Parts: sequence; C-alpha cells; structure tokens
Amino acid sequence: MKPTDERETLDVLGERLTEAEQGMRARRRGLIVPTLAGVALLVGLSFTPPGRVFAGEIGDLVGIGDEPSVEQRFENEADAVVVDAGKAPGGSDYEIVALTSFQVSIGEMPGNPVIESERTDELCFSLDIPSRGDTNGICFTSENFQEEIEERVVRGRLNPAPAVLRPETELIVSGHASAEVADVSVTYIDEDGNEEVAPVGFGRLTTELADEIGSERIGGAFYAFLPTGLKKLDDEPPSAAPRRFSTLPKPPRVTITALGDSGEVIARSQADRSVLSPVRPVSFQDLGEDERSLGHFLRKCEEEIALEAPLRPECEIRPVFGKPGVE
Amino acid sequence: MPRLSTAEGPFHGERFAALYQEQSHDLLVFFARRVYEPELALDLTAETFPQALISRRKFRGTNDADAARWLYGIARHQLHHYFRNGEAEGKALRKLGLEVPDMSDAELARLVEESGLDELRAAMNGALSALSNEQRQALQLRVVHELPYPEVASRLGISEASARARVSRGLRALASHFESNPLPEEAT
Repeated sequence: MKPTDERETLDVLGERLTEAEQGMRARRRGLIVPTLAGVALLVGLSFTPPGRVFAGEIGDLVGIGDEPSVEQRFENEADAVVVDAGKAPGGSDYEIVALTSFQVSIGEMPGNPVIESERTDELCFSLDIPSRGDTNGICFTSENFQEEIEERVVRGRLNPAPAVLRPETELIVSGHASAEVADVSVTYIDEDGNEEVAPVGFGRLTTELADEIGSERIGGAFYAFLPTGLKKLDDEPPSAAPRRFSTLPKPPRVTITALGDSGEVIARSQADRSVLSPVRPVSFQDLGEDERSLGHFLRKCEEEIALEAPLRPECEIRPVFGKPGVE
Repeated sequence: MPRLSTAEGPFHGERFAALYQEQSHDLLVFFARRVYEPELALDLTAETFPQALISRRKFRGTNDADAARWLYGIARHQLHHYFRNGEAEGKALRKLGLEVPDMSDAELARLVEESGLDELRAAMNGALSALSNEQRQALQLRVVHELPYPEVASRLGISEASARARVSRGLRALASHFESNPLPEEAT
C-alpha cells in the first residue's frame, strides 16, 4: 500500500468525485446543445401557445446521460440511459429513456441460465413520467432495425396518450429517426384548419450514449404531444364490425419533419394513422411480471393489430406505442 | 458547510459534496465492520458515492436523514454485490473514470482502530472456536475460500449433501452464538 500525499484518502476521493460531478454536468450541457437548437428552430417556425410553453421549459432539460428516474419494467433490462428530458404540456416532467433488453426463447424459465444462442437483443425506448412512476415503452428487435431506420429516416405513429398526460394531451406521436436527424418537428391541423406545431421531445442515442447501454444501434426517438381539438382528416366510415381495438373513424393528419444539424429539412412523413382506441385501458404497471415486455406483447398480438382484426382476449390491453412497420 | 436540504429536488453540486463530507467517514467504518478489510471497505465506499451521484435523480427524500438512508441503501446493495460476487462492483467508478486512492499505513491503522476490527475479529475467532472442528473446516472451505460444495465435499471426504449440512449447521451455530453474545456496537 503506497502512502498518498499529505491529504487524507477520503479527501482525495471527495476531490475526484467533485471533479467527476462537474464533468458530468459539462457533458450534459454539451449533449443538450443540439436539442436546444432544434427547439429554437421549432419555435421559430410557429409561435403557437404549446410551442411557447415548451420552449419556456428548455432550461429544465437536464439529466441526459443519467440513469432514468423511474425503474424500467422490461423483463430483461440491461442498461438504461436518459436521452431527453423536459416538461410535457400540463407540466409533467418526462424523460425519454433508451435501454437495451433481450428476449429469450419461449420456455425459458426464471432462474434458468439464459441460452445465448436463443437470445434476441432489443433496443427499447420509453417515455417516462417520473412523478407518476409511469413508463411507456417499445422495443425494436429486428436484426435489420438499423438499416430500416436509416432508410426511412423518420417514422412515427399516432397513439392515445397515457392517462397521466391527459387531458392536456390526447394523442401521442411516437417514432424513431435515423442517426443523421438532429431534431424532429411535428405539425397537425387544428379544428380551424390552421397548421400548428406540436411540442416534441426528441432524444438522440448517440454513439457515446449507446456505449453506455451496450447498444450497437444508434438513432433518435421522439414523442410529440398532441392536444384535443384536432381536425379530422377524412370521411372514412367507421368499421361496421365490432372490435375491441377500433380505428378512430376520422384520424387527424400529422406531419413529421426530420431536421438536420443546421435545421435543414432532411425528410418528411405522415404519421401512421391507425390509432388504436382502447376499450379497456390497462396500465402497463397492472400487467403481471411475465407480461411486462411490451415488445413481447406487440409481437404476440401484432397480426391482429396489423389487420385491425378482433383481438384475442390476451391482447385486450392498450399498446401505448405502436410497432414500426405495422400498417 | 452547505446543508443537504433537498426540498428543491435531487441534490447536486455543493449539496452532494455536503453529503460526502458528512457521511463518507461513517460509511467507511460501516463497510469495514462488515467486510473486516479496510482496503476493501475503501473500495466499497468509493463505489457507493459515484453510484449515488449517477442515480441521484432517483432520490425522493426531503431532508438529511432521507439522504443518509438513501445512501446506506446503495451501500447495502454494494455490500450484497460483494458478498455474492466476491469483489466490489466498480461499475460506477469506471463510468466516471475514477480511481480509488491508496490509504497510507497510518490511515489503515486508524481505520482498524476506529472500526473496532480487532474486537470484531476476536469475537469472530471466539465464535469459530466454539464450533466443532468439522463445522469450522466446512465453513472455512465454503465461506473463506469460497469453494463450490462438490469441492468442499471432496476435500472433507464426505458427500455433497453432508458438506451442505455442515456449512448450514455451522452458520446457524454462529448466528446463535452472536444472538447471545452480540458484537460490539458501532461507534457511529
């Protein structure tokens, strides 16, 4: 054991901790810069009330790179990191969390060793509301996920907002973006026919953050908060067949715009409009331990969701965020 | 010294420094009395604070006492990890790129004294000496040398079931001994 200098060991450790803590804050400031630039651009596009409210909260964007405030509820969570944080309309703090998880073969029982050859790695994103302990996640398991996400650039899907965000937010547009996307803008048409900009939370899973959670995949995830009173798009008649999950008869048109580092438009797409309307909303937290992988649930029920067919009883819960590629 | 009042939310900056100043020494003693090794106690202390720093946003308390309870909860997790895996976790230290400083011989000696380790070791030796030779040997192989039960059984020339039984009975006897002969109280 080598003696240190004249300072006590605990003082030395404390000093190193202080330096590390200051370094953590500096890194977070650096990570926030692209997001702030994106929000500023978004506000520049439209001085809508929700836009101003959201922009006013950018000072609260802290915690990027931290562990999430809410314990994640995925079956096999590995590591998780906050990629964005802020306030949703209504004032609730939110965190966008990226985490790695994995699925194992059917028949794998708790307590048994994981069979590596039958393990499928997942990249998951979750919109967490820490004050309510609420998590709303979706996992991507496709081996070609990185290629798909790069090819599509940006893609989103309309879903009912979690109960904790109501009544200020009626619908959520959740989606993912390629690594080149620095920010995402989401617009909708209000009841008067005016195009409005929705508040958006956008987080980038950079290479640095991906390393922290052991993910080989990088990219962005976003959540747009849409209020009530959106203009309905068309006159599609509602389905005559009774469904546990029915499409809303007149879904709104929502446009997603992917922006580059300089605010340039990289791509645009329309949000998938097959909004799933729950008959019996069930909180994710109410599910049993073995049901708490939303990715698992979506795979189990994706055929019914994709075909908008009547759901089996075991699918009679609300998939908060849809799976990309399910039309 | 800045106070730990956390009514505004998770602590950071000066408030975290205050938590460190107020708790680091006591925590070092806490670990030392549980692992009996001052250097290992320093490793565990050094891992606990970075872990607290990284996860400080999970803190939901409102005052100094809450902060201390929260910190000791993390400390116990570190302790359990050590008992399960035989080494300090080190994950948070690596994440922050921190190295654990070395303690001087004088500091080591002072920590042994402050933690009452000599007393504890004497008490443990007394408890072990009260066990039968068979139980003591089984405990030494299993707990001290951390050998798997088949190896313990092989070295003792008995079946694995018998080895498990001897270790189990030895641990129960130790627990019973310390119930009637409590270890010296922590000074803190």
